[in-house]
Amino acid sequence: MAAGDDGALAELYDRHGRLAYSLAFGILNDGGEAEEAVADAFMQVWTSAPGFDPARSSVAGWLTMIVRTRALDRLRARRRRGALVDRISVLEGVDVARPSSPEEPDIGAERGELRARVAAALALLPAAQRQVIELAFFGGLSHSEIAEELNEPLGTVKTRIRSGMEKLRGTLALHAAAG
Amino acid sequence: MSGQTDSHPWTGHAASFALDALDAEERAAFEAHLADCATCRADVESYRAVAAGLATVAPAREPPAGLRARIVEDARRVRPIGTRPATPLPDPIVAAPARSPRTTPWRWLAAAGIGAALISAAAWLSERDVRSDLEQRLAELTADASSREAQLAEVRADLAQRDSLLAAVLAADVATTRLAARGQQPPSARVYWNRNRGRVVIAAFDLDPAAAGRTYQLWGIADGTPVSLGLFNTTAGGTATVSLPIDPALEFQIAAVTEEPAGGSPQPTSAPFLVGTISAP
Repeated sequence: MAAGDDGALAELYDRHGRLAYSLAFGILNDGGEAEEAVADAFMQVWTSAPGFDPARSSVAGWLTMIVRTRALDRLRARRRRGALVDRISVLEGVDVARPSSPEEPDIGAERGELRARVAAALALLPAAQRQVIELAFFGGLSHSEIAEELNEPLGTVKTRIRSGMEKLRGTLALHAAAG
Repeated sequence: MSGQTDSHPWTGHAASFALDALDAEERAAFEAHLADCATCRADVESYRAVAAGLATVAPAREPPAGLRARIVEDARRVRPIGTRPATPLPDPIVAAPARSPRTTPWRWLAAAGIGAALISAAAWLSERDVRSDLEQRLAELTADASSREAQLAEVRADLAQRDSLLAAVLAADVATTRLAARGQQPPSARVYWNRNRGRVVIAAFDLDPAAAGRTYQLWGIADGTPVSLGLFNTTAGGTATVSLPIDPALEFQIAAVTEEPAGGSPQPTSAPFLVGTISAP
């Protein structure tokens, strides 16, 4: 792994570009903006840590969090320009019973397996809990923004997020080793 | 999920923090708490893993064909292959501003706008590489700093010496004389006598350095009796500016320079080759 090797960046894109673009598109629902967000995210990886090893699995998690942040930046900018809060429908596009359809682009075996597990875990949540998590993660909304969006009490929103995330964590068995 | 975690008043915050859903005030308070609470830090980490999983469930889409080439091209433009990064990825442990107790690493991470990403990054970057690189740079910087400190001390000492010299020469009551050789040929010298400070400054010009085992000696002559004012020598360039402490009670009318054996002589052993009569201030 050479510092500043743009071959590593290309490899990172080959491994995770589809996932990154899918996430950005899920948040922005706009191909052009999703492309910009993904390009921003890869440049951030490149400038902040050019010595990354594209084969390390944790790089994928890091990259996707950057993609999400960059995409949400654009989403918020769009909202500031006066656009209505979009109906966030990412999770509605996931058929939890058939998490990965054959006609969808391949996102890699490892990620595909994680995706199947997460989709299955989401399927076990009450719809109201899934909705608040969706609004926070894909919509970038805070507690109070979600409460306003759904016209629900703030406390209800907090409880739903917490309960839903606890269930997801439990189902996915992703408890932190340290405690 | 467990009774133990439910009893912790901050438990509800970790899940929302991992989703960036806390409102600003709650977020600030929880970040401050995180600095001190390993339980909540572990909680946040586990929820971040959940969040990373959520990122995978967006419906898969094929990115535009040109995106890969654009990213590689952008990267080449921003920083050519093989160059070192302008800012290496900071290690959250090493690089956190430990000197400021109010700035927790968490706050710092949030302020840097990198947040969760950085923590994951530190985990996957070879931590040892980052640390040894930083340690090496720290050592280099420390060595550099002490060398600069030494240089600074030298410069300060030099400046203090010049200040003292200038003060001795520029006071209102300084008596001066030009010392000349016979026939007004070079070499020459100028003597400044500051009675208040008990100091004589001699500036010599076009005077070759004294031979090995020899030195120049400056004399004050009162009523025909020479008293040694001190020793000096010139540089290879043939000049000298030397400040000599003398007895403040000393009175003399004539200044003269002789060449003497190294260490000087109680009385001149040769005829003075530079002589001048002191003019009153």
